[in-house]
Amino acid sequence: MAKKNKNKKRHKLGLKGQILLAMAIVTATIFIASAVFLMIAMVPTFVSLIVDRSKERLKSYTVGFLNFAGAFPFLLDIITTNHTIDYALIIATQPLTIAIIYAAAATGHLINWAVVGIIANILVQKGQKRLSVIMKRKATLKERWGEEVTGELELDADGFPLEMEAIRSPAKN
Amino acid sequence: MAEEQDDNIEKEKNGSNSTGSPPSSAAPAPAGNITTLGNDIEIFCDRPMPHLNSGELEAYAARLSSGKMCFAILCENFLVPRTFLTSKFAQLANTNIVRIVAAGVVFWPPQSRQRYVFVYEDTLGNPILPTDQPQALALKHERLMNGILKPLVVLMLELRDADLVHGGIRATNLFDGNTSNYDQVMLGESLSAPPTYHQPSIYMPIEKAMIPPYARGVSTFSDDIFALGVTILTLMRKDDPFVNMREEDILRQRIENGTYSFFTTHQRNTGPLMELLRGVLHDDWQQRWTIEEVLAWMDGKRLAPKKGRISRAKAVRAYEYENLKIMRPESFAYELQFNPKVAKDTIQSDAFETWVQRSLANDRITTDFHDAKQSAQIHGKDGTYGDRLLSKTINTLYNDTPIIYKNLKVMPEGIGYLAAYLFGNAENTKSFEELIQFNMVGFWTKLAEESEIDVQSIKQKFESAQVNAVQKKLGFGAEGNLYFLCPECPCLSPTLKNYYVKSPEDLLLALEDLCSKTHKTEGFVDRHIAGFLMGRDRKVIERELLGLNSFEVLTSKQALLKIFANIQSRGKLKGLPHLSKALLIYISPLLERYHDRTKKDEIKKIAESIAENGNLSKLAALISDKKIKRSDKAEFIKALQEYRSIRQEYVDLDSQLKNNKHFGYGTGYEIAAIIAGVIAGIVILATTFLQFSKGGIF
Repeated sequence: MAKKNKNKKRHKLGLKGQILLAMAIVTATIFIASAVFLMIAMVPTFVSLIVDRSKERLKSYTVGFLNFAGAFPFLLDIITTNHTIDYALIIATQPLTIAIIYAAAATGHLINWAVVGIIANILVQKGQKRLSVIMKRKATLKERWGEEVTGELELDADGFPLEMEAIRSPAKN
Repeated sequence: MAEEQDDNIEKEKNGSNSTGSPPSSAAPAPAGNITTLGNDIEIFCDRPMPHLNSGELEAYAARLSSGKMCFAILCENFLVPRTFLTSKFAQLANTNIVRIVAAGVVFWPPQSRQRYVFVYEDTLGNPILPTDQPQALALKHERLMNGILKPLVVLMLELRDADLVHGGIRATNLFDGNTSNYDQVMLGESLSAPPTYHQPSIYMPIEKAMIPPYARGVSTFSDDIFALGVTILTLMRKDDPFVNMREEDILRQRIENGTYSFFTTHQRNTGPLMELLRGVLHDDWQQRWTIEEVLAWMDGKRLAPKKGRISRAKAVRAYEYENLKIMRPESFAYELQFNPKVAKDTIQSDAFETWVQRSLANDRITTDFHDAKQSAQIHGKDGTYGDRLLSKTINTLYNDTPIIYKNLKVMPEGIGYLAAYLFGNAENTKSFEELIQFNMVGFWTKLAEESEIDVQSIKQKFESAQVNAVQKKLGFGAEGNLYFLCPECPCLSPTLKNYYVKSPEDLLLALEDLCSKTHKTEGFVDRHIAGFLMGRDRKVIERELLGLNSFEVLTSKQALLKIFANIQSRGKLKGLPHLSKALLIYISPLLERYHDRTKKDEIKKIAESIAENGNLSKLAALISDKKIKRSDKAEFIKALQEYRSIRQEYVDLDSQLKNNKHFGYGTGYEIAAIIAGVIAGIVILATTFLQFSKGGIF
């Protein structure tokens, strides 16, 4: 029992989360038909939320936005035409509806995949270029200021290498 | 009458302005057998005139541009010539003394070095009594009086009025003036060496006769009077009774019997001249005749008889010392100098003390001897105690003696000249250093109550010298004391052995010439040069002395450059390109002390161009520019910080790129979410619009 408890990740909701949850429950109760429709339509988003291991779960947002975009026309139709659970279920169970909604969610996945790939590539290229710029700058600094600018040599109070101390030996009289 | 230092204005008077070719300008070295002094005077190096030599200093023929013949006397650096009296002697109107034409530094081709020369009109003729002949001329009274004495006395009066001491009055320095019958006797020169340097010891009063010629110090007018007496005696006698006598024995007799009595022992002549001699050969300078008394005697006036020899102490019982029976303390003092080991044992023995107290029974000597022992003990009873005690005991027994310490015999005012001689001949100076260190002069001044010289100022001078001696830094020590005690001495640095350097400006010109001929880039200053500058013109070096003596080479190099810049600026010297370039190499470590390589190269270029023009002040100002150094350091620190920062950035970025497979993903997700959000927003807006404007999407 203790082991089970240990392995479990407890995601404690803060006060804010609890209030939001409460509000969501209240809203869903009031707009039960929309809630039922969205429960079915937003399944790809829920799955993505579960599967997404990234920080902040931004992938889920991408899928979620397009998933919702795909479901919205139908939701609007339900709200404006017949805001009942039966009508919601009829709309939700139509193959075309599911296809459109789920296609939108799939588009979200696609956008995510494509954009992340492109951006990551660009950033890697940028990073490598930056490395090259840094190398050049270091070389420029060394050329202008000498090895002592690297901070790898022991320097005296005036910033000159200690090996120059050899010329600071006692003056001959 | 002490000599006074005078500004050397021989250049102004005669327009001769030689700095001693070869000049630092592009003028070529003179031809092998002629050298020039200024623009007017040629000196012929291959035409010696030995009959006009001044002792060992050689005379050479010379000629003015007008054709007038002259002769030049070559001086030696270590025999400090009396250059500061040139203008005063040049102003003498008397025709019975050699007339000086010019003086200055020339390049002497046979030795390829600079020498100081005095140029005189060649009107002397031949010596009336050459040195290689017996010193006796048997001149008749009339001729002696009218041909020799009168003109010399008139001359001496003029010298006295001009506050000048000749220091070279002797029979061998009298010339016939190219006349016969002594119608125009002329007195030769005496400026080419320290005062009385060329005078044989018999021409000197007893206390100075004991001293080597280079250590006699300043001479007084009374010394000239004495020398006049010996000159007259030499010229009037028929033979030289001293020719086979050793100097020591002559002195011994003089101390024992008095100079006049001893010198005239063999003199058969009697007559009025003897009265003159009695007056001028008095051993006590206070009793010796003055020039007015000589004039009065010449006018036939009877002078009040001088006191005889001051009664001197005499022991009731003789002391047997070195096979001599000594009764008088002065004689004992004289004998003590010959065998130091025996002397030191003797004076520390009870027998001697008993003899002083009971046999001499002279309160002054007893007290002074006690003081001598106390004084000698001040510096402890080390290895030199015996020598110090011996020296002070000699002074105690005979107040007028010079300081006799170890191998040195010197009058206090001659210590500077002595030092010049020792350093100039690379002799051991340890005794000289000890003389100062133990302030032997202090004790001498205590006893020299009735000395002719200014005892107080001598005492103060040597107290300062004693302080100098303790400091071992450049500018002080033995070399510092040389130039402090002998301000007229040229610089005797081995570096400048081929130059005659008598001022800080000459030093720079000499170094300029040296650098033009050699690849000298080190050794611009040594103990002699620093001491010389301190002695000649403290202001050019004093401020930088601490830096010059610094433990750190960079600081001392910078100080040296500033000193030379000071000299060039104060002396208003023209550019010194060779010296500047050599100094540039010397101070090259200073030029490395810039962080910014670009700035460093720029400064080096500027320094090189300044060195081309030979402006040391600008070079010094460039090196010392604090503003440049401050800004260089500040920018370096910024660069250091920037390097550190970008190095860290590199490490972090490189690590990310190598190890993070999902590099950039976070940003990608964000952008994808934004794009999705925008698309979703558009779709939602469009749907809503369509729904409410057209009555439904579907």
